[in-house]
Amino acid sequence: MSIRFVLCCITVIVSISFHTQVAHAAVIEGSVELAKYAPRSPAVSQRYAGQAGAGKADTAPPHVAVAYLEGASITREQLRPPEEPIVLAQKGLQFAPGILPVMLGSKVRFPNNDDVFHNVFSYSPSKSFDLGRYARNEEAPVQHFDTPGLVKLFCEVHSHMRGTILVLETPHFVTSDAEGNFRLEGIPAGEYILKVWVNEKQTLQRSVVVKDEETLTVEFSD
Amino acid sequence: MTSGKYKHKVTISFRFKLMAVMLLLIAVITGGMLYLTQRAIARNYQQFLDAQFSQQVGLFVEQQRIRLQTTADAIAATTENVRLIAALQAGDAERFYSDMAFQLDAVLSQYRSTSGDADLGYFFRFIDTDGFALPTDEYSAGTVAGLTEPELDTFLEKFSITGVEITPTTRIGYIDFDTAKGHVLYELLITPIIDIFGDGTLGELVFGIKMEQRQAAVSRDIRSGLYLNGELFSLAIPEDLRGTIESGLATAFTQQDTRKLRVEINGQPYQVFYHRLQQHDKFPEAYQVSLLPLTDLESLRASVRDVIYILSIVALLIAVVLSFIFAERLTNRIQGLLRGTIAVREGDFSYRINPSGGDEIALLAESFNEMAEGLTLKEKYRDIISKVSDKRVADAILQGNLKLELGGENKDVTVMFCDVRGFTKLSSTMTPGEIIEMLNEHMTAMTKVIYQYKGTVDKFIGDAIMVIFGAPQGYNDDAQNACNAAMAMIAERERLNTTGLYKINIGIGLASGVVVAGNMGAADRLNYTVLGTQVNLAARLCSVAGQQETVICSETAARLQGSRELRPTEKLKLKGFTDEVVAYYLPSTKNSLD
Repeated sequence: MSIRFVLCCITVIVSISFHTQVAHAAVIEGSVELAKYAPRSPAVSQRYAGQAGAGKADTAPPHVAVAYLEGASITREQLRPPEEPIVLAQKGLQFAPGILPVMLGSKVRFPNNDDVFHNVFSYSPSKSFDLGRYARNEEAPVQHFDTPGLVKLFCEVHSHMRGTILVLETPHFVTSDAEGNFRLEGIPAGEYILKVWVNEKQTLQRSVVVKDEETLTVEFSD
Repeated sequence: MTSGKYKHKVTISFRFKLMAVMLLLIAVITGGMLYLTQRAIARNYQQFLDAQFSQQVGLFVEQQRIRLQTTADAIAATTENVRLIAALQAGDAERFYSDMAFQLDAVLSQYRSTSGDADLGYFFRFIDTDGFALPTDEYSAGTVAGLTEPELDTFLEKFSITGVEITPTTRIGYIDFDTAKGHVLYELLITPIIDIFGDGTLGELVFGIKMEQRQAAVSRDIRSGLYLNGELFSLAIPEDLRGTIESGLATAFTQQDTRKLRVEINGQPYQVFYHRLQQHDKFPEAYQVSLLPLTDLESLRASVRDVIYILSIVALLIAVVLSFIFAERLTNRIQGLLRGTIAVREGDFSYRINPSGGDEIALLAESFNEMAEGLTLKEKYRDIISKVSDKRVADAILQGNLKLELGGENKDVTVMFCDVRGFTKLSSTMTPGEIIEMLNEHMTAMTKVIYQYKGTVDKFIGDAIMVIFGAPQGYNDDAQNACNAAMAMIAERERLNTTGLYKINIGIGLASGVVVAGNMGAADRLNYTVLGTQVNLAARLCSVAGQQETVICSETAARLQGSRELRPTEKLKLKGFTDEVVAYYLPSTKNSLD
């Protein structure tokens, strides 16, 4: 036997088992009543109405929820954050997206897609930074989020601009749609706690058990 | 002018009373004027002071507003700063306070204490919606000297208002901190911090300004201060007075007294005014206190008082003079009336008073004159009556004792007739004028004597006189009177015969008994006389009497009761009497008279 052959076999076996794993993964679907957990509807900033690029994005970003799984089988060491920085843009005088879940260890780039200056900063204890003032054509800074927790984003120039980054210690997370529906895919079978972040103060949770190739539907309607 | 015959005495003369009344009136009016004017002045000055004070309060409030407006605006502006809001949401006190201090630097520099105290003369703290203060030791956030951070936070938490009570405006209030160094007055501005793009009201920022530097007097004359929790904070009011004012104000509040508190500074009087400042109900009651000077009021009142006194004295003097003159005029006229009545009282009915003056006294004078006129007339009539009839009859008629109508009554009287012996022969050689003169003289003398002995002359019949003793009024000893009268008449006649022009001899006859006495004649021409047998008898006995002789009847003699020695006459045969009449001679004048 040649080493090449052995390596091929190993690769095939690993990929087959991996594929088998992927092929047997479960799906968790669910929804929450977003309206119940909507934050106090903030004032609409009139200051920038009519300004170029303001459009309808000078209102608050749409309220969405973030669903994610925690469990004994999920550990920090297993996390594989993406290499490429995730983009959180400043567009239409708002953060886009308004709520961004990222895996612990991810990088986030903050490009300025507006024609005005922005100055993104955060004083959150988990991650405190100040990106300074930069314009569209300037190099967008990148931040490395290596502490789990909630990071609140502000723009010094535009006080109505608010953003949230959830730094999560799990690979399984998804942002809901505007109606509150979410779908987690590729979940290995097992026991987990399903958590749904609905606003800064509240996170709903449910214990779930998923089996292979199962689609579990969870409703948070109480 | 006053007579001792009066029963009453003049204790206080009428003039004096009049003057006294007028002076009293003037005094009352003057006193009343003075009192009312003083009150009006005091009231007006009080209003003036009130106006001045409310103006000063308005000024204070306005100045406070202006002074604090910039601060309040600056604070309100910072609360919109998103960095501060971010710091608060992250719970980062250090960043919050240092950022805030940086933002407010322009404002803080005005309040920064220059005395180098540990506290900067100001402080600011954040209090969340649950009412908890966010503590800090950040130097630029300031502190209150004498209070630790926990103490300050606890104190401030009392003033926080949670949740729905927060109003969007800045609240201003006064509090005093009870520190180790005593009570310190602070002015607080409380501004809500609102994240309008986020969770809404996050809490409040309490900004405190130490008031020592702020209590400078507005002007030299108006000394002011702030009264809080029983303590007066002021630079311009002397310390030794503060205790007095504090206790005075405390009493005024409990008793709901009006503003009449007064104090003295350097001998000058001041009135204490106070005005309750608008504070939120969580703050203690605070009052703007001012001392307004009363020196002007006092000098004004003094000068007005002086003017009124002078005017009053002048008025009094004029009143004295005028009342003296007027009273004298009045009393003179009254005294004229008095003189008139005295004259009348003493029988002078001719006195007349001049009815001048055109008032009631003039009417009184006129009445008096009419009265005197009436009395004079009455006297004239009485005279006339007396002259044409006997005085006693006249008196009896005038006094109403004798009715002026026909009628009579039985009366027991003694009748006397007295005539002249040998009259015809005597008068034959005389002229009628001489005869009348002689007779008049004789009748006058005889009448005078008759009147003395209570006799009433009935009539004169030529040379004879008819007299009644005992009518119209009886005296118990009429017979005795008649005899005495007869003897006196004879004595008088004899005296006149020696001294007078004519020599006349008379004879008298007396008879006593019951006769009819009364007014006889025609209804409008009456004559009081008597009728009866005794009348005839007396006449007959008269003609029997010789010269200077008196013949009396037996009845008369009997009534004499032996008091005289009587010589009986011969038995007489008289015309008209069937029986012989017994008569007696009275003793002649050579004998003793009674």
